[in-house]
Order: sequence, then structure tokens, then C-alpha cells
Amino acid sequence: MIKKNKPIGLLWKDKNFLIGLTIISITLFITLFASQIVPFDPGKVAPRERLMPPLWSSESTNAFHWLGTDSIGRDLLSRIFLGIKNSMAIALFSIGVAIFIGAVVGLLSGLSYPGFFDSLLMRITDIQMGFPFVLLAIIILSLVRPTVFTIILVLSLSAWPAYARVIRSGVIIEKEMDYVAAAKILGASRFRIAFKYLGKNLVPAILPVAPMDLASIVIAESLLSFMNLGIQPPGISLGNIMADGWNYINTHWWITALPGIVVFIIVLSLNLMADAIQSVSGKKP
Amino acid sequence: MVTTIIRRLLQGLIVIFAVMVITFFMLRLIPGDPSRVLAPIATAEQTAQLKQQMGIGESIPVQFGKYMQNLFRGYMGYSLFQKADVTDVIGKALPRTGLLLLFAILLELSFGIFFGVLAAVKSNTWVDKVISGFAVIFQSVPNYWVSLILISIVTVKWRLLPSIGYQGPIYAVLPAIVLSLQPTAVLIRNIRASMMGSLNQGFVKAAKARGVPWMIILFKYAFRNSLIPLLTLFGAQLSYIAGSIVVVEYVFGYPGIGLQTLNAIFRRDYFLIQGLVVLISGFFIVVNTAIDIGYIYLDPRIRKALGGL
Repeated sequence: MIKKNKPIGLLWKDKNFLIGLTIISITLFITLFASQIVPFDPGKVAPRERLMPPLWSSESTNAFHWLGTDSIGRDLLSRIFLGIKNSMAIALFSIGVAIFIGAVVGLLSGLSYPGFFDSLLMRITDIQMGFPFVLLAIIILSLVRPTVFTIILVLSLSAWPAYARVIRSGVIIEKEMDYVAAAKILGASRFRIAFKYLGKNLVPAILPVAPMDLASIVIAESLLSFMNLGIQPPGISLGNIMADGWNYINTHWWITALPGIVVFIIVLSLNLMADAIQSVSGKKP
Repeated sequence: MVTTIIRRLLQGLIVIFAVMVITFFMLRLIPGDPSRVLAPIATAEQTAQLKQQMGIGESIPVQFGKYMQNLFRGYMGYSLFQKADVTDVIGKALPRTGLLLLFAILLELSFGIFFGVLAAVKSNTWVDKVISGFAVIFQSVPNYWVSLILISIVTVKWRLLPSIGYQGPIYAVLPAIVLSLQPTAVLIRNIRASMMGSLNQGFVKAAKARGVPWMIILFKYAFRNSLIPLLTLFGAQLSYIAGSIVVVEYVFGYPGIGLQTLNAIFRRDYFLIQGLVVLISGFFIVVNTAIDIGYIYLDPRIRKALGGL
């Protein structure tokens, strides 16, 4: 499958990859330690300090709220940090669930190929890949109450079919290899062989696509929260900070603009990393 | 060839019917009651009356029988929320979304093809780097956020283009621009990659050596060769665009199919949801059939196998 195998070490010489990796590392640091490093309590309402402009603005009147405050006086920087934490945590869990489901389905499908079970599973992935995911997510989350659990489950729906297919095709190729026949003769159990395929195929199959899927999940999560179908207040997400700021966008644009820029930077970094990994592994579009 | 198309469309009809039946029963079996949405503090008697008016008073099988009967007469039911027939609601929203889709696809194809080919021809120069850079950026911007920012800057601050709501085709321009950003970026990157592959191949060098004009080599030889993978991409993109339409119409308050779908879902407007499901799945089936016909048209090998067009 891999056409030209350049060494993975080349990644460390790719400028775009390093930029992406640095930003994602910072993001992960914030995800882990947001609660410890925020300057203010992100939920603390202060009506006298409402809609304060950020520090760089000429109208800035204080030196404490670096990015200003929102419509009820909550510190925007602290809220954005907590938003990054929640959004990233949910996105990471979702991609984990997606890879898990994809691996299981792909493995089952590949092992039972050719057969009814395999074609059934593949038709399901067909339908799912053809149906607009955003619409599916909106429908499900407007019917069930959005909780962290349901949001993660719905977001993972967007990505698993792609993994299932990649892993399935890997398994189908691998299955016919001599070493598998040898292992069978030597008396290795089906289960053990299956785990060997999985181990061998999982990483090269998911590495080039995972950052890109993570990027689209980050966007989808913030969108759902923005539409009030994701993390519910008082929970904080990059999306619902933007929804809060929407009413004030023409006078106090930064409340909406800044969380959006954060989403954009995270997604851009992930896409840069994905591009670099794909060109190293010879999987450029 | 013609039989293939007819068979595909007939299969499509069966799929639409299945999807519709599933939607019908799912809507009625999941929790949530439209009469409660319309009148949250009504007495039991009033609720029962309202349910009769909404056409959801009887048992589910009876409702289904009536719905099927009506459907064969071409009547899709009545939306009490909108105080209009479902066909009228859809008839009003469909041209608006059609316009949006048309603008967006025109923008995508013209900018995508132009900059994609340009980037491939000028590969690894500053032109290519600028184009590819912008492509990565546009690929990464959340579309709902761009919508918010563009409304605030272009419509409110500069008063350049009206948006928010719908009072004429000009209202479709800004949402269409947002809608086209991500697909254009993806198209540019794909055209660039596949054109660079084609331009390095023997038949292009041979044509160059024979003195075939550069523009003809570029578009008739190299670009045509890249069309088949692009058709696959375009099919996948339509599903992405359909999802984005919902989002963009929501932010712009653009009263098209996307916004109607959202409202219908939020209010549990059963008959409208059913009508929209038929419409949307029908759209996808027609598009996918069209794409398959496109393959046959573009790839001489498939065309030959099927015995000509």
C-alpha cells in the first residue's frame, strides 16, 4: 500500500510538521492543565466588568482581563482555555472511539471476506459516508439530550467508516500472506493471528488520516456547541463561547472572533501535520 | 446504457421508499410530541383536538395508511407550524437552496480549476506556494465562524452585500462564498496533485515534442486525464456541501431547505420532515446516478465495455 517509503525521520525536517506539532503540543498542555493555569474563575459572573475590551484595544481600561470579558463579565481568556480543554478532550475521546469501532468492524469484515457479513458491513459504511454527517449529528442530538457521553458517541460516528475500510483492506491483503498460512500450520489461534494483523496494520493505516479526522471532529464539536446541541452551559466549549458572543458581534466582535481563531489554529496545525505525514508515507491525494 | 440508468433510478425509488417508511415510524416512536411543542400548556382535551388537526390523532398504522394514500395522490401533508402544505413549503425553499448551491458550485469549479491548474503549472514557485498556502487555510476555517465574521464585516460594517434572510438572489452571494471555501480548497489541492502527475507522463512529453499547443496539452490532455478522480471527489464533496448548507443557512437565516430542515427537526414537524427526507434522499440518488453516468462518459474503457453511449 505504501508507495515510496521515506523514513519517518524526515518528518523532523519538515517545517510545517514542526509548526503544527508545536501548536498541538501547546494545545495538549492547555488541555491537561487549563484548570490550574487560568487567571480567573471562568464561571465567575461580574456584572460591573461586563464586555471589557481586550488589552491591545485603545479603549482597554484594565490590566487583568487580557482578552477582555464577555456579556456577563466572565474572563474571556479563562473561558477560552477551559473551552480548549473541553473541546480537545471530547475530540480526542471521539477519535479514540472511532478508531476502536473502525478497527473492530474492519477486522471482522476483513476476516469474513468474502461473505454476507462483510458486504453488509461495507454497505453500512457506504451509506454512512454518503450521508451528510452534520445533518446526522444534528438530528441525533436534537432527539437525545446532549451529554458528554452522547456527544462523543455522535462525533465518533463521523470517522469510524473510513478506519473500518482501511483496516479491512489491510486485513484482506495480509490474510493471504505466506506467514499467516505458516502461523496457522504452527497452530496459532485465529484470535492471535487477528491481533497480529491488527498490530501490523493499525498504525500505518490510521496515522496519515487521524490528524485530519481529529481536525474535522474539532470543527464539528465546536459547531454543535455553537448550535446549542453540544456541551450545555454552564459547561464551556469553544463553540458556546461563540454562541454567547453572537448577540454582541457588531459591537464586541472579539468575543466571537477569538474562540473561532483558536479553532482555526488548532485545525490548521492538525492539517499541516496530516499533510506532512501523508507526504512522508506516500499517501498524498 | 439507458437500461443501466433506468435500473439505477428504480433502485433509487425503492431506497427512497424504504427511507421514508423508516423515518415515518421512527419519528412517531421516539419521545417528543409536536402538539406539545406547538402548545406547551394545553389541557388533555385541547391536545387531543390539536393532534387531530395535525393529522397525528389516530394510531400509527392508520396514520401510515392515510399518509400512503395521500402520497399516491401527490399530497404530502400539512404543516401546522408553517400553516401551509408541505409541498408549498418545499416549493418555496427549494429554488432558494438551488440558487445557493448553483452559486457555490460555480465558484468552486471556476476558482478550483483555475488555481489548481495554475499551481500545478507553476509548481514549486512562489505562485504555487501562495495558492497552496491559501488552500490549507481555507480548508481549516470553520464555515459557521466565517459566516459570522463576513456578515459582521461585509454586510453590517461595509454595507457591501446584503445577507441575513432572503429578499432576492443577491442574498445568496455571501452564503455561497462561505459554502464554496472549503470545497474549493480541497479541489485546488487535488487538481494540483493529479495535474502534476499527468504533466510528468510520457504522452504529455510526446505531445510537447510533436508541437501541440501548450493550452491544448494542458486542458485536453492533462486535465481530462485528471477528471475521473475529480468526479469521485466531487461526489464526496456534495455530501459535505449538503451538510454545510444546513449550517450556513442557519447562521445567515437564509430560508432554504437547510433552515426548513432544522426548524422541522427542532419542532417535530412530522409531515415536513417526511417530505424533506424524500427530497434529500432523492437528490442524492439522482446525483450519484449522474456521477456514474459521468464515469461512463469520461472513461473510454468503461464506455466500450458497455457498448457505447
